[in-house]
Amino acid sequence: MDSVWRAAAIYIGLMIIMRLSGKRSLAQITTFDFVLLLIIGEATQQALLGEDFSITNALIVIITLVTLDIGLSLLKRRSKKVDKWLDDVPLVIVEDGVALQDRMDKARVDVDDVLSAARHLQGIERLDQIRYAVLERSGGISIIPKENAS
Amino acid sequence: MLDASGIDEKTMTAPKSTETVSSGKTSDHSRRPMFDEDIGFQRRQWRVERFGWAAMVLVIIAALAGVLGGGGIVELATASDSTSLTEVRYARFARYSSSTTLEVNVTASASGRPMRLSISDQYLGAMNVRAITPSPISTSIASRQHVFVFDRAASAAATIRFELVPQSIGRHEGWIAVDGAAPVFFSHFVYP
Repeated sequence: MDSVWRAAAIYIGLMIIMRLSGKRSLAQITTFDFVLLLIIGEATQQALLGEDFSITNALIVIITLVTLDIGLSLLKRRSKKVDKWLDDVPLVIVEDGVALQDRMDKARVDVDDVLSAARHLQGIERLDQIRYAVLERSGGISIIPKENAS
Repeated sequence: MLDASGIDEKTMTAPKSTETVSSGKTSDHSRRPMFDEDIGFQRRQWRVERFGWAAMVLVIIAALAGVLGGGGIVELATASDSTSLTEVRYARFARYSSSTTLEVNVTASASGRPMRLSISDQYLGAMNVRAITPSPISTSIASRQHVFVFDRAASAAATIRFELVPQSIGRHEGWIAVDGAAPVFFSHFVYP
């Protein structure tokens, strides 16, 4: 019984924290984001397992987490509203080579991040070569180059 | 470089258009041999997946009820001797190397002082005693049993709590007797 409640509490707690932290926080942009992810994992582990190191407990915790995830994914397919609240929405941050500064400020992304993604994904070097830059739900930036990119 | 990026764009948009055409139902035989697609296998796998989900939900319900140990209504059990002066509350299901509580309630008139509580040594061999509350004033070993002696005011009701950690997996049977009365039998199933 405890195992199920513990896993559910951690799942919901982590989900709320991650959503509050914004799209960008743990998209593994920097090395430290990766370290932060590891630390969160370590901190969570104790609370998830408590003092019970049995295989049964581990499996129950995993099954609870996975089932919650599947359940929510089914719920998200049914309801667009739930999907938006749980998984965020994509955001256009560059349009026709122009950075939409207010959006970028709110999402805590800067032009350097966009250019980094542009170099990485499309080999683009300047902002004006970008038709759209979209901050995806996952926190990554995807780039659509202009047709006549040169 | 420029040509390459141009081609890349075309190939990127090409599969997208076929995707929109084939949206909706998928046919039963594979149409894209180049992808090594096996829709028959895929369907079987989806079916197994759904069964798996149902099984996982059942596991969660079982865990919540306490069938898998770790607390819950199914887990708690009570055993008492024929005179029901001694009552043992224990967990039917426990987990390996995770503590479980065994509570012995002795009715007021059951015994004099000090109270002698015997537990089968076979049972204690499978359990690690982490704590006993209250602490016994002495322990001794008799034939096939461990005897814990507790000091208590004459004819007071008593509850003694053992915190035990199972040291092996499977069924463990034990008995507890207070002051030489008929033993109370109980058993746990210890999950791995």
